[in-house]
Amino acid sequence: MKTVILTVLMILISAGLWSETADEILRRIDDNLYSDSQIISSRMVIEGRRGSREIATRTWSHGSSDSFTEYLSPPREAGTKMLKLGDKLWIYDKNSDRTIQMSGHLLRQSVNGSDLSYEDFMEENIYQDRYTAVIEGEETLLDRTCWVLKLIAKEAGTTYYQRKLWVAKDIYMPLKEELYGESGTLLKRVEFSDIRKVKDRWYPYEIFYKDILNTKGKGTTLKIDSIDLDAEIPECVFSKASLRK
Amino acid sequence: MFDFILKGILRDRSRSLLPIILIATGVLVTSLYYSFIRGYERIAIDSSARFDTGHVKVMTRAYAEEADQRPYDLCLLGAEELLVELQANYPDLNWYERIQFGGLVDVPDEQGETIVQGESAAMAVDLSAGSDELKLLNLKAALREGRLPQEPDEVVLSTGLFKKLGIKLGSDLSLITATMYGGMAVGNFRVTGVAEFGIPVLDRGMLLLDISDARRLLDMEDGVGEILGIYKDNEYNWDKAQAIADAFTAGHADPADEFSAVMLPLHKQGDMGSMLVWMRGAIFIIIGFFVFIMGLVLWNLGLINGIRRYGEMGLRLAIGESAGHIYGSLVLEALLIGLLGSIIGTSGGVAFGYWLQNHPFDMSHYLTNATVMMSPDISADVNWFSYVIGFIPGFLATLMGAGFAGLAVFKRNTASLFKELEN
Repeated sequence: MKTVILTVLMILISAGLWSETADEILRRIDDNLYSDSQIISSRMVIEGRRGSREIATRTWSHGSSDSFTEYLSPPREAGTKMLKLGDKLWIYDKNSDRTIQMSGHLLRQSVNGSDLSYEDFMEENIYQDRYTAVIEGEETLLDRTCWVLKLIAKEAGTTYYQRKLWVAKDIYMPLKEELYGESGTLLKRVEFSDIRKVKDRWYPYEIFYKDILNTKGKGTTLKIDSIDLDAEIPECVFSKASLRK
Repeated sequence: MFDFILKGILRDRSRSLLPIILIATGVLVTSLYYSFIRGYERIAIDSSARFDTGHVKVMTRAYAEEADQRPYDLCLLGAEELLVELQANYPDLNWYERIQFGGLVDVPDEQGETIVQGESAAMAVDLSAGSDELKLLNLKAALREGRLPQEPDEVVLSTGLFKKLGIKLGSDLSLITATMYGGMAVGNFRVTGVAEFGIPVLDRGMLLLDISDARRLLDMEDGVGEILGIYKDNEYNWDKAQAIADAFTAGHADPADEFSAVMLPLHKQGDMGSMLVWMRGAIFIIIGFFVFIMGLVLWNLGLINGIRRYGEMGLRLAIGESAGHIYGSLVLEALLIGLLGSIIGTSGGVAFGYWLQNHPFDMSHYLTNATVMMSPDISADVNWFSYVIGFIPGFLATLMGAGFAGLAVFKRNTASLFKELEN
């Protein structure tokens, strides 16, 4: 009798674990990845057809929608700045001393020949605000058991209407992501690795992007050199005036 | 005999007028059609060679595979050395460096804020004083306002782009594009002129700049998108172009290096080959069609003529003229009709062809959204073949028609001739 009760209890406990809803998982992912402010120093390694290029940047972020990025190297790119305020994006080009607001088809252009577009930069960071999710199953990835989530955009016109996420169950961290268009075409693949604990969060120090439609490119790797979560950032950083400074 | 038949043709118009009109019309249309297609082909080759393909074009293998997208990131490096080599090895051709790329034109106000933006197709060529490009692109004639760039960072806009942006000569603009490595590139330029090439695809949104400015903007030091070769006599020879392209590619292409240089002749670029094959095929299809139709109608006319002249043939047979002699006279008669019709038709076709050659008609209305690099002024090109292409088929069709119809003479029963004549 005891055995039966224990078995039933085990089943109920398992069912309880399984019953963690997709929305709850999304919330946990957002809680892990999202911070009120952060300063990130990173290098973008672009594997192009003519070889590899590395671009160093420093990014200040505030909330989920404002960010300011300064290019540090190579020399031709150094001094270029990018400001995102809500759904607007400006780029300051030091060579021409012009500030250009990116709009229309410019947003779909590749950033520095990488596998990322300016639209990718424009995306809001918080999943749960933009997507509804369902759990499709479980898979093992990088020796971690993962939920496989299917995300559908709440609003039409979202850059990536569908996403498929492999989320490590133990740390609520996506390890892989596939981004789809509204037609169901796979557009990009993202892989998260070198996951480290930063304060009380888990953070990927290496993110690999592959634009599936760019068949000749070999992908782009974003390598985080340092991250300062919940950093104090003056409000004036997120203003157009800071572009020319 | 000849005089007798000629008089018969001229005096009995019911015997000759309709066949002559028919032959003349067919020959005229054939000759004119040939001249028109030749003119169309010449303009297509000329426009394409000057603005797009050259008679031959040198580029990297990777660039050639995606040439319609102008992938300047896959450009040739070491352009200066390659250009010297081309000039030395192929002295029959002039060589022109080009960089073609897309960009967004952004017009700022005094504070640097965007007033208006427009997409442009930028073409970078050598605009230095004395450059052959000025002549090749007929730039001075194409200029509608202002002047060509003389200083660094000056550009000429096409009429369509200039109008769309609503700016004035002397206005400053920024050209936003990407370097050959994919980095963002923004260049400031001053508009010095407005040009119209008469090619809709260019006139809609072209921005013309000097190639040294483009190299600086695109981070393409000693790089070039494509090198165009154009025969000095401006005559495109399919086989010659193919031969030098094959020889060059064999000497340069490296299967392991997608950035090794290849040379493609005009007819191997884009849809040019299939277009030229179609044009040449169309000439022979239309000639075959006319020969067939004319032969059929003339045979039919010959048969009707045979019925109408049934009595005449019977009488001639009855008085002892041999069927072979009558057949010979009918064929000779047809030969003269064919000759007259073909002379009239060829004269008309060639005359109209020459008129069209000197008075091109404007097809720009039909090419508003065209993406082909082609002048909309379509004219004819009359050459020696325009004289014979209609003449010979017209002549042959008449002979064939009369030859088949005249065979009926041999089927007449001599024994019943007088009985027939009594009726």
